Amino acid sequence: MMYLLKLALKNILRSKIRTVLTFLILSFGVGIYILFACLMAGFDRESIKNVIDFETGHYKVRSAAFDEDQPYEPANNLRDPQAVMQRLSGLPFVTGLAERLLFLAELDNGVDAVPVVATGIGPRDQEVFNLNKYIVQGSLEPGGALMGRKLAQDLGLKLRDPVYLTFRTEQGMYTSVEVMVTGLIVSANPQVNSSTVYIPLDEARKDLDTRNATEIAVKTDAFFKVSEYQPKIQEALAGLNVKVESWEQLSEDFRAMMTMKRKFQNILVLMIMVIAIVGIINTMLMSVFEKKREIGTMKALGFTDRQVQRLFLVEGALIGVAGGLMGLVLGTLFNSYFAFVGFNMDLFGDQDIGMPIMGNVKSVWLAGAYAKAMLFTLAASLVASYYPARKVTKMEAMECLRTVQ
Amino acid sequence: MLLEVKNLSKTYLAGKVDVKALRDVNVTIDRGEFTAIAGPSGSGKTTLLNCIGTIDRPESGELFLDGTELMGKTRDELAALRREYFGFIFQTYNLIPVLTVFENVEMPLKLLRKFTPGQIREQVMDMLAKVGLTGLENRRPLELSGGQQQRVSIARALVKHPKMVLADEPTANLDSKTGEEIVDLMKELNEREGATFLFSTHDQLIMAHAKRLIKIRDGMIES
Repeated sequence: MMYLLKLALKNILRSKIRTVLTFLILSFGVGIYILFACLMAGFDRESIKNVIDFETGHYKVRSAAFDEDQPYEPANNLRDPQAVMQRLSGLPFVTGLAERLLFLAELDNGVDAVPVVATGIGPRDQEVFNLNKYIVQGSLEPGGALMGRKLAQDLGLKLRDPVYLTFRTEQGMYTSVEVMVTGLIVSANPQVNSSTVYIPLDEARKDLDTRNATEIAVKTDAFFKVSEYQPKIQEALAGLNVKVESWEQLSEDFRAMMTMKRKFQNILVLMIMVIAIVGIINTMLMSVFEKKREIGTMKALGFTDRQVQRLFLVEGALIGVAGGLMGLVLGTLFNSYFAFVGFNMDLFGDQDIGMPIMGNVKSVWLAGAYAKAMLFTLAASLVASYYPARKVTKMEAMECLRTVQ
Repeated sequence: MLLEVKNLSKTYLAGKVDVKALRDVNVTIDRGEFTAIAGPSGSGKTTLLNCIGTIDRPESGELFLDGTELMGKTRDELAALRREYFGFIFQTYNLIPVLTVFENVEMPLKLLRKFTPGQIREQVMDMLAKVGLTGLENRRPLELSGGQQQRVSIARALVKHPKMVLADEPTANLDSKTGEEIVDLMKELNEREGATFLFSTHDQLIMAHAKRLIKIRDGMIES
């Protein structure tokens, strides 16, 4: 085997340009795949973090009758949020609770009016959500409103401008209140940026004439212990007519998107394999053609068909392994930039890219991507070498020796 | 008797025409012979050598090497047989260009898997000395003259001490002086090593060196 390896190595070094080209195509493909996989994993990590920190918490407790199709209807609200808060506070793994009251309203600057989702947020909101991270100007003050910067821009509003929120109370009465723009927010969620207004929870309750809450978000000591904690929370809230949903359940759309990305990644792997296979088949077929007479000589000297076949398989595998290894190095170099410097999502501007991420997102190091890339490259190389190697096996020594070169 | 060829026939398909390359050829070769197969171009001498060397398959006839019938053997068995018993010298040398002189000559020994690296080195260097190539072992074939390349080819054929060396027009690509040197070398190795040589040629000068001459024309043995 060592002798075959030596012969194969000498053979692939013979046509340096062709070998280098195949090797470069392979390594570039592998490098791009690694970068893509690591960057996507970075996006996923950041997306999950943002979804949890900004939208869902680890769990949301809502009324058992909550209707997803009409999420802002007063009928959806929890009737006794205090009882829920009290029971949840007794669970040792719960680290934060946040009450929110959501309702539909119209935001009016005196000239134009746009429909918005008004969200009353309680004083404990920061125990679960990281809203402050997204505030770009001002803050949420009593009698004030925090809104998406885009929404403010659409209505020509700036800090300290008065606006009117018009809505229906739980009893169905139309009410209008004046609030002041005290803070602007830019989040990774375009819907929040263009149509959400945050006001203090106590003021929202007063305005709506209710003590209810739409949801209570829960933070635990470990976001990944969904299957362990969810039943315990549900059990603690037994009899309160509520349902508990995890961040995974609440972000199904986003997770469907993640699944799609994974499929796209697999297509990329497939494309790399096809490129690798075509490149190696081409290289090996050229090699077989060029070395036909040598193959004849080797067979005349006593090489068995299998030995000659193995020689070509080893040649293909060597190109694959070398290209794969170089690809790992290239992938590491490509990914280093994005892992240390990051990818600026602001390049997309206000475009909705379908992922709840913004700002500078760093890619991660994904050992699985390295293993997968190497494994697939090796498999592709062997598959690609098989056909030319088989062709060699079937050739008669005499047929090869008669070749004019 | 080392080799016995009985009623060997071989037909080639040249385009759409069948060409009878060998017609009921009968030949016997004894151990230690230095025999030339002579005939004009297209007479069937190369085909006969190739069939004897088992790198071409005759349609009919029988072939015995040391009393062993070769016709019924599988491809792998024939490869093993060539590895063990035959040495080949080709008209165009057929050296592996990416290997050095040493590596080309050691190839048959490596394939036999019988020798240690030290033994291989010793045998290769010894054989290179015999063919007058000492000092050139690290050169690549393309860095050598035609005559030197054919010497490498001879060294490769003889290094494993085969029962029979088959040489297909070994001097055809060489000038007459070098050609004579090569035949002299083959003859010397035949006498000194006891190797049986069977070679084809259409060169009168080279034929003159043969101890026995087999004449072939239109695929048939004339004498």
